[in-house]
Amino acid sequence: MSVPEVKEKWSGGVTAVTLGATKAEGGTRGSTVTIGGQTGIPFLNFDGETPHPPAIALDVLDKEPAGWPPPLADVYGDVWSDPAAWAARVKQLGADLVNLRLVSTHPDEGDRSADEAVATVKAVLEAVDLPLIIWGCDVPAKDQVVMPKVAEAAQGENCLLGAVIEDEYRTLTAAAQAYGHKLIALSPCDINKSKQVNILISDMGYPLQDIVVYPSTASLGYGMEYIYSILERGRLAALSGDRLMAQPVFLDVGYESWRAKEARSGDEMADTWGPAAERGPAWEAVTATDLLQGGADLLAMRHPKAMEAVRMAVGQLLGE
Amino acid sequence: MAHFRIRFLPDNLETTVAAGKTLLDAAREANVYVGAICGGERICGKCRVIIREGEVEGESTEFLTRDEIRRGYVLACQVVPITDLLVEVPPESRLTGYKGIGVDSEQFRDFAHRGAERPPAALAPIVEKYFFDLPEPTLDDPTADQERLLEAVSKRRPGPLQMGLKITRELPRVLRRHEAKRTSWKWKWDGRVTATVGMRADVNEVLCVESGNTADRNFGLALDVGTTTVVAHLVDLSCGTTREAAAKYNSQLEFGADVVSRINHARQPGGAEALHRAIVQDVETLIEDLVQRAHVGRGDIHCVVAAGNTAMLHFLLGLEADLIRLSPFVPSATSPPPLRAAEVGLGIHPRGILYTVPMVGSYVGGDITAGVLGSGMCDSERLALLLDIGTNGEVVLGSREFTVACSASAGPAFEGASVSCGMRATSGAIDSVRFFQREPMVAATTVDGSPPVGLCGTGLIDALSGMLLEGVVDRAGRFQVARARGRFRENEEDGQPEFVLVAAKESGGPRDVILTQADVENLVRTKGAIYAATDSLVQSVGVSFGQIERVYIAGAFGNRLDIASCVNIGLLPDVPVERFEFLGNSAIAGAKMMMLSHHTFDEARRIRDRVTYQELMVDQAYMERFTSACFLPHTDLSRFPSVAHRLGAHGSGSVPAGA
Repeated sequence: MSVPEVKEKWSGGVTAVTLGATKAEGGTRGSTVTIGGQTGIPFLNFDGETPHPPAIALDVLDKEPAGWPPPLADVYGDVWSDPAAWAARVKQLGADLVNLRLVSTHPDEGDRSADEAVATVKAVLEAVDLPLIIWGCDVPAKDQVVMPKVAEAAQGENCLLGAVIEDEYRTLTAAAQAYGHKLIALSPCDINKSKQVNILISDMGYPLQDIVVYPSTASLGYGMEYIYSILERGRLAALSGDRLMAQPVFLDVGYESWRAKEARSGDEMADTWGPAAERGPAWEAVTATDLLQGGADLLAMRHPKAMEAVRMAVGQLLGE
Repeated sequence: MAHFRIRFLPDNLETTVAAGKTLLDAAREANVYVGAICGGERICGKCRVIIREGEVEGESTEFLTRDEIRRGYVLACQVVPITDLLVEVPPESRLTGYKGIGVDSEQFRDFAHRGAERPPAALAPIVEKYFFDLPEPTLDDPTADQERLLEAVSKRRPGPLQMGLKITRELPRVLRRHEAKRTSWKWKWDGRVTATVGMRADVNEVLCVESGNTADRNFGLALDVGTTTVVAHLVDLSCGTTREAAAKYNSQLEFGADVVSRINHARQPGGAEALHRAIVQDVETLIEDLVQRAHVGRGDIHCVVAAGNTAMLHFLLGLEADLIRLSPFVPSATSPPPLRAAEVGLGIHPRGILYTVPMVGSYVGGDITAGVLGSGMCDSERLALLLDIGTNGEVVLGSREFTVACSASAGPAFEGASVSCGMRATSGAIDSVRFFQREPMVAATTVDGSPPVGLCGTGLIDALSGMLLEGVVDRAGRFQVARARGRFRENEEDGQPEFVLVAAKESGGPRDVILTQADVENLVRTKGAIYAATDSLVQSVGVSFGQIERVYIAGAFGNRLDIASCVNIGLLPDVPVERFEFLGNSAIAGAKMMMLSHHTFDEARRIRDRVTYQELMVDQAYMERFTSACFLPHTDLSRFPSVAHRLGAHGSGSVPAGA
């Protein structure tokens, strides 16, 4: 009995997006990271090519985080008051990129000025030569002031800037366009909205192939299946040739996983749930590997053990 | 209890109300129309009036600006008088148009006469008069009067017949002259009789008998009971021509602008009765107007054929309408049998019949059945789409082979509600808008040429289309203030930008006609709902828009609707413009066709029976289609190639992706 041919023929693929710029490319990064580029369903090697395995960025905050549980404090507690030192730690742990969050520019989190944010970004760029993902503070009015200056300060470094939303897309898009950065387009859990944001950005003349989409994230046990189906549908659309869905996908796995009480709670739950030091990273790793099956290309994560577990799983799935 | 005298300008009508009654109540008392689209629920902000003298008290409102409050503006539904008052109803709140019997507004004449009519192949009215010269009974031919008449009738109108006791009692004296002498009397045979025969379900009924030949005095009333407008046509059934037409606003408007708010009103004590009375009174007003103009007796009107949405027909007949609103959305009746018009209070011939056009379901009514009939789409091999764009957008897709229909709750934005400067197509309503590049400049026309006070549906569609093409809004409908800085003003309360379509100082109107971001969002949602409904139907039968050979547009928009604007914003599919056809008031046209041929009446029943209704509320894909359609013109620009071309050609910066 012959095995039936199950190989799919796809007409489209995921756009490949390169982040960071080396000296030769006008930046100061030691290397670049390329994400996307697949021409088949995730991890079905017979189906199409996966030229670039999923990349992992580790979170760096520009101020000491409030409420990070002990398993994370054990890894970063000694450096988290200094973003540059924290970024160096992240590189040392093996991250592909630094996911820098300028949380202290938030009006309620210190309300630091654009100039202070620029100083932080410069310090991080100095400290490590990894490509950067840079986020504002999620308050559009403030981000509109801060992010253009940050984009200007990082000119030439080909960073990934987050995030453009339907209501506020002009300022960040213009900044990314002016200073040569890539963009994250955020549209929570809605394929049509995702397309619409991509259209709005590209209507401004920003190239579709420089966009990374962020459909929002949910962790294991907290509606992950919803995001999963959005990822899956998006990926199938991309492979079927839909140019507006062809962008590689960013997911904020670390932030979402460590919000789950299963990841956060300590050893008082050890009897039934297992030790906290294992449980949190496991929660993050399972969330990440599950979502990668749906179709994701760039993960922001927190715990190095989780990152290692994900890398191992990816390696096995890709047959490396 | 204290009472206050309230005088309303400019009508100069006065009333006295008890303390505690709102100004809107007072206006109703005084028969002064104040545009309360929500029916006094405090949600529409349209019942703006100006206090000239006296004082009121009430809650503050976000619908009025500080400047307006300084100028004495209040919302009539939110304030109660605390002194005698002199109140001015400003133009934007006024209802101009029908002022009563004999007074015709041009816009209503237009409205009333619109309608693509397909005359039946052969005249066979549902109520027909037959003149007979019956032979005198003899000993050899002793057939009784009733049988004699019915036999004659059945030769002209085959099928079972019935005749009531009252007519049977009258018949001998109609057939004979009864000559009384001093001590005796004599019956003298005449035999010339006109019988009026009407269709009652499966039986024909002799409705009345008259001596002599009166066959040329037979009239019918075609009725379109719209949520907003009631239209009546007086049809001469002896020859099939329309003698007169009249229209007026549905008086139920004061109980709410849309079907659901009226049904809610019906749940209040006395509410259902008030709604029934209001609509009957409207029809009575129209009948009075028509018979006076046509010099016809009310008794010569033998039938009424009423089309309308399901809720309106329920109110007309006094049926329980509440269930229409509630899942599983079951109406009381979808094809009420023909009944005496007098039973619902219509003053035509006492034995005259009221026919209702069969309805498909709770949200696809007799107006749609009539529209499908009028369009002829069920007789054609060509695939056609019929769209009735209203608060509920009804969509029908089909051909000779099949017919599917659905209804989308689109919202009242195109009828002027839920848009800050929205209004109905009355005096001062902007009904068309053209943008010219440079600045951009805007040219607008109003319904009657008077200075603009607001925008009606067609004006809103034109405005949105122009704003998109000029890049004043992006494809998500967001204002792009930088592209036309001079045309935006800041809201004095919240500082939000508002697009000034027509400035008062240029137009001579009472206020700037503006569009807010929220207005645009409402319009986008409304058009999105209608397009998504169309999309759902088209997908459900596995065809593409390109295969649709005819698109019929029914409803009040009529010929004022600019097809290109509708396609630009993605309300109508992007098919060649020659495929579109305006049906105008297809409800009244269909009602007339049914009146003029009982074969057509049967056809309407068959159409009703064959329409497959699709409930979008249980269609999971509908929500997704809706989100896709809430973009200008659509998320998938490849569905709108001509718009992609125009967006590119306009150089508005909105260069389509992939173009």
